[in-house]
Amino acid sequence: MKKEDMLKAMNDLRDDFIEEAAPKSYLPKKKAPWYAWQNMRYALSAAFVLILALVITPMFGNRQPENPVTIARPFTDYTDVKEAQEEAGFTLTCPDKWKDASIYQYRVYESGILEAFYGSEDNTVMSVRKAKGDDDISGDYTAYDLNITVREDDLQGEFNGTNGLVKRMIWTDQKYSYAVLLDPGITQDEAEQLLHKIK
Amino acid sequence: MEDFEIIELYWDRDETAIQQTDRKYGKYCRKIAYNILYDQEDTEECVNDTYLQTWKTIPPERPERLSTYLGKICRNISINLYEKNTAAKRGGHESDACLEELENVLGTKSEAEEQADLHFLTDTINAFLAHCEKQARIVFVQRYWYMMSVKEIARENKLSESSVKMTLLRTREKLRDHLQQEGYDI
Repeated sequence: MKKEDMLKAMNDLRDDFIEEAAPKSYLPKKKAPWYAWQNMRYALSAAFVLILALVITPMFGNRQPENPVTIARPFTDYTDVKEAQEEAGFTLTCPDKWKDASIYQYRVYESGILEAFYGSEDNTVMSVRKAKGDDDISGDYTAYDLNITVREDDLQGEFNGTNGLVKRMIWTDQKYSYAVLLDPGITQDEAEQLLHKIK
Repeated sequence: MEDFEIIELYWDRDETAIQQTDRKYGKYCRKIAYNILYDQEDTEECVNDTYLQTWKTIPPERPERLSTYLGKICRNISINLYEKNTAAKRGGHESDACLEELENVLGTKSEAEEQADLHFLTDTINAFLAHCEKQARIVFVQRYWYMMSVKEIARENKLSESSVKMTLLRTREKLRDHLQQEGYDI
């Protein structure tokens, strides 16, 4: 392992350690004193609710065991697809190359999305996302002028883009949802071919 | 503006989310990037990339702590740019010094280390820090996560520079012992 890897490993330190060590001069200044009264009101309200909960909950015998605090880790990057799949809990099948671009990185988000990036860090030409469920996981909410509905067996979704080129593809096969973002865009025929290569 | 309100702006795809992020955490991100890169232009590039990355990841993400979420993205982007910049030439700044110090904790030639998983190493360091004294942990994280200079750490914690250096030395030694116990060949 390179010494640089040590610095990279440090990147995902626990959030509470990072927050605890945050230098005061780096962070925004605290609120003006008058505002503290507002906070005091919230604190008193919260305390009242807490006391009420502590008094009422045992009466109904409904106390739950405390859950340990979980620390957020936004996402983890991988170069090995197997490791990324293991973390995500499902497989992602997609082309090794798209046009001249190869996959340079995989990413698994805390929310369970597995993403493959094509091209390079400086120039990502395509990203493919997959997650359990049927939500729109593209993260792209642009109002495109090209909107094509796709429906095929259990698969349904849409292609979106501009100037006749598809820049966003989203679909679900009932069990998983998929999203592809493209820059530059591709033709509709290319989008259809691509769709069948991703599972 | 509170963090949850800023996060809502991202979820609403409201571009003022980036302005509000910059207003609240711009300085935080710039400090992190600058401590790694020591270059104003590169720092601005990394901070802008941090906002872009945040825009792309929220939604679907909904971070519990916006500051550390931004900080991790910014630090990661900055280290990548630092590696790119220093491929040809070392810059002689704080991140070089941090690397030299960490090199003594974790050697560079062991096969076991080369194969070690970064994820596992992160967990090992987290477990080690959880058992450190609070002051030592803060100094360690300020040095190796925030990449602050010894002088800056001393000022921030009202300690002497020699005390900071001694704390860092002892913590590095303990970390090295901990890593050895966890099976790293050092």
